[in-house]
Amino acid sequence: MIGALVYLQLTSLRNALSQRLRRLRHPRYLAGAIVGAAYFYVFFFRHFFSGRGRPTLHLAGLPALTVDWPSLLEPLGASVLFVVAALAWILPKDRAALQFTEAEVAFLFPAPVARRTLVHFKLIKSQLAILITSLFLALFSNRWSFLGGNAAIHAAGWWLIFSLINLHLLGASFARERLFDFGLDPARRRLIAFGVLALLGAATWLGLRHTLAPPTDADFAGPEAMLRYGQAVFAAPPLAWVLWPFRLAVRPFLATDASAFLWALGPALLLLVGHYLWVVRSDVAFEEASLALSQKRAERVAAIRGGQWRGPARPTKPRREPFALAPRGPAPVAFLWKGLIAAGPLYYPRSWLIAAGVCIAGTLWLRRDPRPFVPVIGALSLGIGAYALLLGPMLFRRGLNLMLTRLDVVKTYPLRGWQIVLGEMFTPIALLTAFEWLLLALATFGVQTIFRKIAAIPYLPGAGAVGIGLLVPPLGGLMFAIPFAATLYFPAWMGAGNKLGGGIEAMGQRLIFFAGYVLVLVTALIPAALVSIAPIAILLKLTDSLPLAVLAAGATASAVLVGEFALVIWWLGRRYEEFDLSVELPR
Amino acid sequence: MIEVSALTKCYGEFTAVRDLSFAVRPGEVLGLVGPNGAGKTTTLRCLTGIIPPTRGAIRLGGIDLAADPVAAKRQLAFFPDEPRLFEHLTVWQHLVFTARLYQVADFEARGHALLEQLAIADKAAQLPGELSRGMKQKLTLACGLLHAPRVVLFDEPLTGLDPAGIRGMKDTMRRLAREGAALILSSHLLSLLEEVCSHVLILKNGVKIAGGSLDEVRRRFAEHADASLEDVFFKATDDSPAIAVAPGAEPPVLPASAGTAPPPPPSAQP
Repeated sequence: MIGALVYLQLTSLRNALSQRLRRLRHPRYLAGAIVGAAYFYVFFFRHFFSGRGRPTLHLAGLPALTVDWPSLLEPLGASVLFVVAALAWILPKDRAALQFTEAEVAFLFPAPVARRTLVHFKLIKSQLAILITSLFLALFSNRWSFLGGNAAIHAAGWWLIFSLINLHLLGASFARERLFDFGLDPARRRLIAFGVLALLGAATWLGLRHTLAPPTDADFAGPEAMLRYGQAVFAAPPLAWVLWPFRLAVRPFLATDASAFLWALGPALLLLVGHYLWVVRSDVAFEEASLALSQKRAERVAAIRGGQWRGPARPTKPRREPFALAPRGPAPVAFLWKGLIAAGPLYYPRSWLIAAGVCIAGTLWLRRDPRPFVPVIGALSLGIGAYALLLGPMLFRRGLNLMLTRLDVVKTYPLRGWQIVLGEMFTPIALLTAFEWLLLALATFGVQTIFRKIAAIPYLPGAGAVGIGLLVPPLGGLMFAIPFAATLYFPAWMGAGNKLGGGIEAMGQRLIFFAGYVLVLVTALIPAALVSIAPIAILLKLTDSLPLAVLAAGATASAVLVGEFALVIWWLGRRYEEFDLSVELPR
Repeated sequence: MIEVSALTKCYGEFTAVRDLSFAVRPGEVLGLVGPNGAGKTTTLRCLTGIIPPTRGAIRLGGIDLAADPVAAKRQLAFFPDEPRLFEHLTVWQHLVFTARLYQVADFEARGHALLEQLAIADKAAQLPGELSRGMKQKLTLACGLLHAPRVVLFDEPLTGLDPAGIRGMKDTMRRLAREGAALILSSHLLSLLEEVCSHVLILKNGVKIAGGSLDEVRRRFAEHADASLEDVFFKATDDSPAIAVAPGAEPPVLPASAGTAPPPPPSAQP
């Protein structure tokens, strides 16, 4: 019987791979795959093929330290595993369920297949994901120069760790189900688990008091002293005993050479076999919960593919309207009204005003006694603001997929194409603008402590902030127009995002889009920058006021960008009206 | 009210609807029938402006849909088979949103009346996620009727409705027709069409096979006046040799090919 299940798995894998290869005949997938492959080659594989040996990616400050990394990383890794294992006994409240697809449920559950065989099938299936994840992570970890070993050791180490976690989570879910059958409900189980953890914590604290002196100022003198003290903490019983089995699990990954790996492998494999026996010998009824889980998963997958996935849960309570929508007036405002309701209470104007007030008051308070983090806040705000201008439109793609699925309804509205395009863009532009203005306010206060000369000219920081702030709405609009244009001109590309299922093609496509955003940003700004030179020159000559000139330049550039945005909206509106659903999105 | 002349829609090489002409006057209910792939959905989608026709003209309330789509769509309400609602808007907020789209100044009074009429007034503050399928369908109806459309199109309106919902939907259609709207109803449920429609249009492979009042079509294809629309449909579309069988008579012997549908054309239903 297990042969049939292995066949199912291998055949599905082969067909999925062949389907992915076949679709490379389409330019959109091929282009994505080429760019994605190039990215992987440049950042990961180049070092393997160049023959220059292990690449060196140093973490800041680490190479200078003379710390025995494996002896510190091992208990750290063990601690992480301990937390994962503990959470598996504390958090879940659902019944034991193995995740099957709806087809697997339909074929396997009524079939003459033993429950244990189903568990084996699940384990085999999970191995595929674990293997791919392990290989992928090995590419990353192989670049960490503070680790020993090589890519093969890392891949095997990752595989052991993930296999153990997988088995432990499964075994724990079965054990929880058993405990539930014995009358131990989730609340009491959690209470017991917390009790055990509290006992362990108390024992560790008492143990540390006896074996280790309390930390002194010398132990916090620098990173090296702190790390050494940390090592001593992990080495002290009973913490060392508690973490011992978890250390066995991470030891192969941290092995510095083949011999150390082989020594570490034996105990880790014993742990793995023990977990395996624990899982396959647990005879727990998981079918009913698995069935419910598979249905939930299928609904989620269908929603994602249909571009309608809006998060883990549907709204349960009506949300307040951001403003009263009059029955007469510009129709695009109705889209903004609808979009803000969907965005939720976090995006109500009052929330933003409060957030802005708190941020500005906090920054002002900090400025009374300038500390290093005030300029850091300023620089971070600028960085996040610039990144959001690129990232926001990329996230908007999901909303556009949703729009595509509703296009047949929206097309019946008695509106011009430009009204619908503007309406669909209103909400993201409004949210992005509010976010950017908030960051701009923070940056203005922060940057003044870095650029003292700017701060010294009266009104200049404020004028600069207002000038830049004026650019944000039209610039944001132009950025959002990119995915919109891509959706209307290349709907198959955009729709493809839902069907790619990740992978190198999807990553490549995202990189191509990212390059497009940067290009449009630069192209849009060039005319605005050129036109705004004139008012700067004129006002400087007439008034000699730099703040006024900056303000005028911002307003002029903003006007140019508004013009560009209006043109783009008109162009997209025309395209929207011509958009033939039946040709562009055949079902 | 609805005038369609020489409507043709092609998908590449494939012609989904060919030279279709018909008219629906105020107060008439036209049943659009035909086997799968006949071009019903394509026709409805062209009429609603969702997809552009390849050739031909569509006039809604005397306004050319291609020349002035906004004015033409103001006359129109389209009800797809699946209620498509905004999950974050309450029942009442759906009406507010629709009112702004169609610029319905007196929407409050109309909206309350519609909710009362459709028996969902007590659900005004609820989200679509809290409504049953029938309630969602009623909300879609309320939104569609808010601007008092003169042209109303239904695509499989009874899908998923319970008996009470079905009766309510039929009553709504009859009432709209009485009030002078022109209705088109696309459905596979021939009994529904027979009950509600005054006229029928039979399509097959994108071509009009028959059209006219129910009696006219019945006279043309059936052997006696009591023939059901189902008999007429099979006779007209030639999918089955079954013709009107008088009560008590023996049904005819079916040939070997009976019941076997002809090979479907390339997907014409986007």
